[in-house]
Amino acid sequence: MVVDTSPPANWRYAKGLGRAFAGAVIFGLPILMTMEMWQLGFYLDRTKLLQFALVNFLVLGGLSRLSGFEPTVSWWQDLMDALSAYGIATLASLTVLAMFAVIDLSMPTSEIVGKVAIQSVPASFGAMLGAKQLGSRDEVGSDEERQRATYAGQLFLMMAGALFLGFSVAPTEEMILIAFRMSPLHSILLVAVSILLLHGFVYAVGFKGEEEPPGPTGFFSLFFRFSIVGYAIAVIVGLYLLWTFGRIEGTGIAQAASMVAVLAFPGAVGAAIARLII
Amino acid sequence: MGKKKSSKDKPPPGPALLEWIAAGVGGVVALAMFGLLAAEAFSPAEYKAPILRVEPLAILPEGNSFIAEINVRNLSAQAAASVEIEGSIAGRPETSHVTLAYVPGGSERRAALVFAHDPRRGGLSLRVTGFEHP
Repeated sequence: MVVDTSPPANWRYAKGLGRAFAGAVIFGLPILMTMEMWQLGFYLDRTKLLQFALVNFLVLGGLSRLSGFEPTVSWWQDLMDALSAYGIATLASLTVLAMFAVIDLSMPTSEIVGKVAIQSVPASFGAMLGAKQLGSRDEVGSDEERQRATYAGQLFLMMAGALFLGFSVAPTEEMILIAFRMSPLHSILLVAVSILLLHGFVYAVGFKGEEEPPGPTGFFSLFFRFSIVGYAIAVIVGLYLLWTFGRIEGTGIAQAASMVAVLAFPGAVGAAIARLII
Repeated sequence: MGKKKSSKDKPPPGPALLEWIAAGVGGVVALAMFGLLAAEAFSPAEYKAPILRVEPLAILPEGNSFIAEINVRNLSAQAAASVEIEGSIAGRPETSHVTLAYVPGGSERRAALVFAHDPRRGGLSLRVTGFEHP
């Protein structure tokens, strides 16, 4: 494998790293400054935290293919980008948490690792997207656009969006409090609004740039292939997040369904906007 | 046209040196994080309850009352939430309470109890009266 030591190539990559760091801080800040997120770092079951970190890493690899630092063509480039984004996110989280005195050297390694592992999830999303979002638009390669335009690519982006927005609210007490307050009628209304909102983004706002949605573009086709499937993705991601954070253990099925409906709302919004901003 | 052809014939340049360095550092960080998490996740299960120890640090007079600074240590790996601590003075009916939001595993937290009478006389006794599993 050839290594490019030319100053322009390295300078370009250095700028990408700088943007990634900025992205990590921007995406990470709301969560870096949330108490529940610090607490999760020390009480969350380690097997769950490990699987969550690994799932996050896989999503980073996918994001690298569809967005990320630079147009990628091979899996090892995606791996390298995922590693860079994860490294930047971890270092950014560590720095900010240390500045906030949320972590210090008197704490056991387990607590520090846990807190940083939680924070590096949104921060690594930010690092991966920041590298592209804060840069110029025309750096996106044509191959990337082709990948994005596939149905699987679109579904993946919706999943990533639902995961990011859902994650930032899933561990808060408010999530459960809202579910407690809502009557079944409220829940049904919330589900309907979530689907409508998702469809509004898919249909009315349309597709990025001149992009045409893959496949037929009739109302029902778009509604079922994107909006309904997108909502299903938001529900599955919501359920996954609630399970990861130990929110549904010992919870009655009606209450759990109500919590999923609450979490699927930001999930659906995340799924809808992911296709536009990522 | 000619330009396009020549760029196609030439093998694409490899990743920038900095990219290798960034990915290398990221790889070390990722391995360390996953390794530390896995080591804990797959370590043999221990007693699944927090072991909490509470001890007095200092007793300071403040106006008409006395502040007893205390330290709560969690000797287990299990975090405890809503840790309630009760302090009493031997030979007096006075008791004081404080609740700590969290005492993470292997960590310590500071708190204070306020008394109307001097706990130094007769002796201060401290105990954990309850906690929540987070």
